[in-house]
Amino acid sequence: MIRLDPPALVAARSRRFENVAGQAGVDSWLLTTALAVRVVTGAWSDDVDLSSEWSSPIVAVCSAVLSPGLPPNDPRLIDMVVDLLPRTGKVAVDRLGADAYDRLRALRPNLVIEDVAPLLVASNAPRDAVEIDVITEGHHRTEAALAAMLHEVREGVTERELSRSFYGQAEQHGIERIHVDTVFSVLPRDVGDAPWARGEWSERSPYRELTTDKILRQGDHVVFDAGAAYCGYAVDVGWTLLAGDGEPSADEVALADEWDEVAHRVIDAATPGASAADLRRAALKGWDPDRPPPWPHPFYVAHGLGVRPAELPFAGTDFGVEAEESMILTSGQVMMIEPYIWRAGVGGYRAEYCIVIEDGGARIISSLPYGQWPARG
Amino acid sequence: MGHLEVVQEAMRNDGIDALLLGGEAAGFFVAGHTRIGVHPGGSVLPLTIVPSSGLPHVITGDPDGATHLPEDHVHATRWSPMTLARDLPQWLGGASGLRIGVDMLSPTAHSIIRGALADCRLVDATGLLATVMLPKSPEEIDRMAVLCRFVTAAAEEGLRHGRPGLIAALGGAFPITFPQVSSSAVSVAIRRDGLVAEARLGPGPPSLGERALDALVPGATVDDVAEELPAGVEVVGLGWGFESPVLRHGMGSPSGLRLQAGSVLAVRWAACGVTIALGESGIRFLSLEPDEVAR
Repeated sequence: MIRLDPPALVAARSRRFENVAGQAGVDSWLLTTALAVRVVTGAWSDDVDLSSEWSSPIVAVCSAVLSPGLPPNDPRLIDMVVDLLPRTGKVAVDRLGADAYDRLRALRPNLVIEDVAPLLVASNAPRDAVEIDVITEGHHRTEAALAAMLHEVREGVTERELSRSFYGQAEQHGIERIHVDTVFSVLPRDVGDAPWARGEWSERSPYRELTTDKILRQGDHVVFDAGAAYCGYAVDVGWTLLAGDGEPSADEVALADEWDEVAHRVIDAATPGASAADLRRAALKGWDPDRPPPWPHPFYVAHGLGVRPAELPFAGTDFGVEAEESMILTSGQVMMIEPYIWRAGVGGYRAEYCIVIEDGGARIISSLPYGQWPARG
Repeated sequence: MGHLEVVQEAMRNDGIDALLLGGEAAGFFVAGHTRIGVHPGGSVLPLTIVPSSGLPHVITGDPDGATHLPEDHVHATRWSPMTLARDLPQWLGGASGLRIGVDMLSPTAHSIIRGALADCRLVDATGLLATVMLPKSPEEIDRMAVLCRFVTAAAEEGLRHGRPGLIAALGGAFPITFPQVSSSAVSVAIRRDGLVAEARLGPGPPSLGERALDALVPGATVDDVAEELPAGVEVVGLGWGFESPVLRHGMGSPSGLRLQAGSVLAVRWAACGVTIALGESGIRFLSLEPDEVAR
């Protein structure tokens, strides 16, 4: 069944998207990924699969939303929707199969096919207050769900059992959806604990985020990262938990302190007009060049957040500094700040601040005391 | 033969020099690594690169899910299409004039592939992938049966105790569809150890499902089967994700695909559904039977 987001949320997004599309000369769009459909139209379906959004898709063709029955790689899908498309101009598309592109070109030879991705990026911000309120509420609910189960992070439980507890708490706290297999992963304390840290990862801080049946031991550093959704907006909450009842050592406290210093350097740099490259530079300011950069490879030290869980601007990825210089922050943008600090023999610490860029600087909307180890009790 | 060998033989038969795939199920199937993309929805850029011989290359944020591949075949997420364009020729041996099979990708992906691989031609790999992924081995079917029983038991808890009961019973397994729970019906699908299973318990006439099952025979085309299905019945392949075929509204996709022994299919009607494996001489229920899933 196709459902619709609240009108105020949809209006904000569609207004930005249609403005950007108009400026780019794009008159129509054909979208088959659930997130793009939701961003532009506010429509969504419980039947869409998270595996590939393929078997029961919903499709947006300009203002129309359909549940066509055919997957997006079937060229007959084009025949079903082509009457909704103009004969000339530009159509923005997110993905199709090769035969479906050929069919679209055959039926609409004078319609130029463009990628919708740049339009989605350009229409991310500035977010309306109603959107930021929803994102804030989603984060606070998810953080409350995590806080309610911290006492379960102890020796003898498995990573997967922690996921189970979190899913239960998320349900109780009104989280709409979990769209990423929630991360509860014991971080390696030494390089030898991370045999996968090889090749392109060999010079980077070892990290992991696949939840398994690994059994926790006293004092393990357990990274938590939840990808959830609330009222259609992504929620990204991360923290590092200390297994058991012990107190963090001085080295572990220093690890968390160092994380907070990096995070706040990035947050302080996150002002309207700054670039993603500025955020990268802030993270690396004063950083020992002999150490790996303070974020997990191949991820980012900062990324945007909206309906999509990770959207541009990205700071710290393979886009590189030159591309990051062109990713300009604007007031009303929501971003995640998520460094990762690791020291051999001590372990790792990662958490995530959610911030809103405002004219006077960034405002943290997260509610948990990141930069510290979680307290018990 | 393993999955990779089966795929590469099919590629040679179809004259395809390489596959560039964004879809998760095909990536799991051919390369065997765990969690390809961190975020949902598959990828509109290729994440699994399969040459016609030799090992695949995978692009991932999770190298701990790909330790079975040599390190020079495991690559960090390419967020930038330009980085991907830079590396593709090297991964494919630098040849030109390749015939490249693709699944569902973005216009940008098509553009960078054409730009990176001189004189290449992109062709649709849907039919190839559907054909090679359709038959499951007896061992895979047994694993899917175990998973199906697990998720069915969780769905029973959902009927008894609502969403909290369902979620607790799933034991932390990741739902790959959004669980739908009411007082009379539960629908849920999960992935574990790469394979997926679903359970659908709820009201619906068992006879509708039984009539649909009669139409599912090895050798039949999905087009013919789709026409024979009673109204309101849909059939979707299961395996390393939701796979081909999809039979819905009288149409079968991909057109021309023939059902095979070993096909694992979800057959859904009204609010209930069963999962079966096709055999040469009949079907095996991996889930409960039609009169048992109808509540």
